[in-house]
Amino acid sequence: MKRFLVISLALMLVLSVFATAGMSEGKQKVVVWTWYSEQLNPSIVKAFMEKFPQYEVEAVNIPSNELEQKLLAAIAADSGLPDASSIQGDSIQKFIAYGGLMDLTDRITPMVGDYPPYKIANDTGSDGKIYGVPIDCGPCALYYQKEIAAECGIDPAVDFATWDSWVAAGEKYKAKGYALARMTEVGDAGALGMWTQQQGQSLFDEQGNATINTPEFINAATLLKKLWDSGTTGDWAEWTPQYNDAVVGKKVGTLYGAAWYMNVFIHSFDDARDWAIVPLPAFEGSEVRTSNLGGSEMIIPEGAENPEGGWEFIKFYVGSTESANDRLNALGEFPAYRPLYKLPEVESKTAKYFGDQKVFSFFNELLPSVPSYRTPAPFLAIRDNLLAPELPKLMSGELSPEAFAANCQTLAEAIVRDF
Amino acid sequence: MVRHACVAKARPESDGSGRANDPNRREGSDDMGTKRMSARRFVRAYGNCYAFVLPFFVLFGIFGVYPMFYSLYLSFVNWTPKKMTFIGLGNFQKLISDPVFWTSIKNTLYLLVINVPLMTFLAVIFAYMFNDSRFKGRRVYQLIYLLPYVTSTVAISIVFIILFDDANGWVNVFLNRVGLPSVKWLRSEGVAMWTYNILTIWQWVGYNMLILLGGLQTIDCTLYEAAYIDGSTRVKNMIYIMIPHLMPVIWFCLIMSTIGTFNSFVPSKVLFSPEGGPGYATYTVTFYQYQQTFQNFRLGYGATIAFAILIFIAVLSIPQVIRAIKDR
Repeated sequence: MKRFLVISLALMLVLSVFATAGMSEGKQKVVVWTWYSEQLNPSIVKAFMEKFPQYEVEAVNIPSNELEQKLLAAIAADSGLPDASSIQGDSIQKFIAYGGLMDLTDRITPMVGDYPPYKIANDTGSDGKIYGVPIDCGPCALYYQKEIAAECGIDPAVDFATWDSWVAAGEKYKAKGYALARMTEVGDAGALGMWTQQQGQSLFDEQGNATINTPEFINAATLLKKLWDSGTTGDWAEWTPQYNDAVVGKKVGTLYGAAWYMNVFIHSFDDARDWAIVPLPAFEGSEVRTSNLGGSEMIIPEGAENPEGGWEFIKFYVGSTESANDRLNALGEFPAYRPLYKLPEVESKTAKYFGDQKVFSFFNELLPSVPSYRTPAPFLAIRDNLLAPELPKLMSGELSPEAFAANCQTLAEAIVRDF
Repeated sequence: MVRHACVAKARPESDGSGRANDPNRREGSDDMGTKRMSARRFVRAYGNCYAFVLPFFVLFGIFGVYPMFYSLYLSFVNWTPKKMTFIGLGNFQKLISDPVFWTSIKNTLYLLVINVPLMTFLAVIFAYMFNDSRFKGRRVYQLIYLLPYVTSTVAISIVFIILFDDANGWVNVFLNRVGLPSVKWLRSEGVAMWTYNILTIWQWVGYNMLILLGGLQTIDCTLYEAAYIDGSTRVKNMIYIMIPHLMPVIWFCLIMSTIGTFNSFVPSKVLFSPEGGPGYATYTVTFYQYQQTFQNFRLGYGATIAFAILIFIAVLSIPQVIRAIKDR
């Protein structure tokens, strides 16, 4: 009897391992990997499951910097793949080059006009096929604190017209004890790319060769060095509590950033008030006053167990005004789905940090001007593993902007060869 | 006279025949008895022992030996997620001409030269202090010094970010209070490696101290007593008795610290921003391997770097091992 009980207990324990816990009968599971699933869960996932009761969504939260590593490993192993996943816009070309993403061309073609052309171009492989659907985009602008600007006698139309006048305005901020912007001796590799793109240039040509040693990149490097040498910046690293305190505590007058910085205001600068947004200052001889920084895409890996469920989720998540509006309201995101901005309530929508400025319309109007930019497979390796470590040589004066560009060009060519 | 903790040396029991009793030795066999046993008797006698250690060796074979040989194979291929191409010595050629790899080697050797001798020296001093039975509360101090070793390096790195912050870090606040300027511990190329050294030494000195303490306690205290009777001093005892007898343990600590330094990765990843520190300042070779393997997904090249690390460790460790054996 005792032996029978022991064997029964052991069998029950073994069988319980194979039980599909929490899965409702008859429903198809859709596994979604994303880095903001806590925000996703309450609104969008619930709404999706109500509209599509045959699906049960499992939203898995993976930090952004780990998600791509896990996804690459899953693609290589052809196992454990999600049915849909977010990835950073800067990385999608790497995934396309490596292989393992599902061709979404036929699925997205009916709605391709609903997204900015430069985002669709970024999600398109060299074979002309589309592998991703844009979630959000990052048209860039200059944010400035209105009270500080008034106190320093800043006229945005004049002082923020060009990058040179913006740097010069730093003296006005400094005289009153404020910082123009933040900058550290390690520089800002993202800003280099943003300024290069603003001038219509890219770190790569159409064939994927490195094109760093260009006049546009040198202009961007010169601006970075000039900003640092002006002594009008605050010594804060980005995404640190000290910088957040400086923004909220009205110590810094301006910051250049993407539309999704409005989301950053919610999460990091929540007590900030009285900010305004204007187009980026222009480079001399150019009228382009925006660029792009960041943005993310949804993809479906080949070998996903439920690609149809994954596609339905993607369509609902990033291809409908309801969920785009949800994300805009809940997350302060700037969704890439353009029909959203035709809605009257979105056209006139404001955000609490920016007074009565219609911020979402503002960024929507900038979108057509964003120059295209190429981010092939070696892009992140060059931005993060080359430009970021090399920048201190520019900032310290060890290399001139021209020598810095030439040096980075040589090193980038080696990286591109490896890829 | 310093009272050193001594361990009584146990002698093996004898049955009067001049040979030590071996509980596994079977009647009818001599000291070479195992060789004369039949296979059946061998299994009966030792089967349980091998059965108990077998799981370890099976797991070691699967998760240790097999990956090592597979990595060697990977170092000869170019592997992206969907495609593997044999390229012969291509990865090794790339390694030789890779400036970032050599920078990471330089940083790792810098770490090695600074923190291994300093850490071992401090560990010897602490072990000597805690070996003194008159030192009140030495057990508590041993525990305090050992705590960093048992703490996650990630957790330590996060705490160090707070301690060594430029503006509000406790270290800079203290420096300012005593009239010294703040130091950019985490963002200055020249200083970042010192912060790395401080973390590494602080974390590992307790572990080395514990090993050296064990070594100190095997030294026969009659040697010290005899030396004192002959008029020796404490310092001379340290130099002429303690250090020579402790050398095998010191060599062990040096070898393990060398291997540990080459495997150092977490501070590069967690402590510094950008990762790897300003201007490659804290790019260690293992961090560079991680970057190539997992961030850039260059698995073949990452495996090549792993074997380069093995070669460096072997080159630096083998002379130490030889010296350690000679000293014994």
